[in-house]
Amino acid sequence: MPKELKVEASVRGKSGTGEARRLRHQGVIPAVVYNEKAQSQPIQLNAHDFSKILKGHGAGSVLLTLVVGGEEKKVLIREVQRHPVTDTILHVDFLEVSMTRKMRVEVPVRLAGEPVGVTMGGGVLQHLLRSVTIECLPGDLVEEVVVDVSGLQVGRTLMAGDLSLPVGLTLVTAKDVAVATVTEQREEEAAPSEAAEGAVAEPELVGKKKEEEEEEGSEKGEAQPAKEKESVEKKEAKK
Amino acid sequence: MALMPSRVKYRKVQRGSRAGLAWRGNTLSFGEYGLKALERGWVRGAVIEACRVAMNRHMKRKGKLWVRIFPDKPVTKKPIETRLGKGKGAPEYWVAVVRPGMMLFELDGVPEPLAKESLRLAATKLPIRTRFVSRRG
Repeated sequence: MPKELKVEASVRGKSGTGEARRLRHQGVIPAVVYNEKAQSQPIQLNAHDFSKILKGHGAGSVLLTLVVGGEEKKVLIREVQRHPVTDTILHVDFLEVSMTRKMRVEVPVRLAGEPVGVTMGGGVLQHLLRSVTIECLPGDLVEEVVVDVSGLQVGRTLMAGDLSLPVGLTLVTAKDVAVATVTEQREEEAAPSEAAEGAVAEPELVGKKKEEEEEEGSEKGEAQPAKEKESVEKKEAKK
Repeated sequence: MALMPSRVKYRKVQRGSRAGLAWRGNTLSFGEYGLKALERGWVRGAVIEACRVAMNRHMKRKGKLWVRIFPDKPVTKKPIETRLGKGKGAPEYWVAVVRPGMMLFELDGVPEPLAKESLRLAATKLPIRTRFVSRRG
């Protein structure tokens, strides 16, 4: 069953960069809630409370109850914008959903167990697809799709079509997309030679060959007379 | 051999700007763990290669490593005891422009303590401050 979490929010009066910045300084996150009819409402949330709710949950696949001015709305998190360095939340997008209408959601894929190929075969487990798109009713939504990879051997790949989804969920992601694979351990790469390190090789220039050919052609015809002219001028100047 | 482009349009370029934050390439895209830049600077191709070698050696060829930066900017230098003028110097080395927030390396397929130590070894070789990050937060 999906976890239903309650988020308290209030209507945001002003909009714009300056106002959003002021809110963030006060520990408030600017956010927006919109529905499928493209009607949007700017709102604001308490940063501390929202961070606590978000921690430990797959951001896009949790059905939330958003309370805006006493009115309750069932929403999904569409986007969480974060600061590149501090990782603090800058802005949140909520999508209001209808409980009777199917929707498409990105659900994270979690790999469970240690593959045989890693424990016995000495391979390396690679998690290639971190989330899958599913179609379902909001009531059937799951927080994550757990896949048991303990039977995976070296050289074998688990495809999206192999995922066992709970009842009510339909896979939208192509079935032939690889989710996880166990590959052989790679050979140690040869250390670069010291001679090669010391020399600064230069890369090839784009369009250099053409230019060179053109230059060669022009030099034969023009370069010689130009040099002769220069030498004649110099002689005259000496006199 | 240090990293460098195979083909370029121009041999020499101007210094350019290092201003701003890394608004792209700042998240974990491939691996479970990563090393994030907290400062701005130029990272040489040889340094990136040294980091890669150190991490692979420490992980003993286990796991998978992604290098998210590439030195595509040539830096020139004039010979020593040369007077000013007479044109720009010859290309000396290649650098990657790193802005705060940029994900430099990513690791997967190894336990967290091993990944942490490997990325710490790489961080000691870099000319900028960095932070270890993981998907689990």
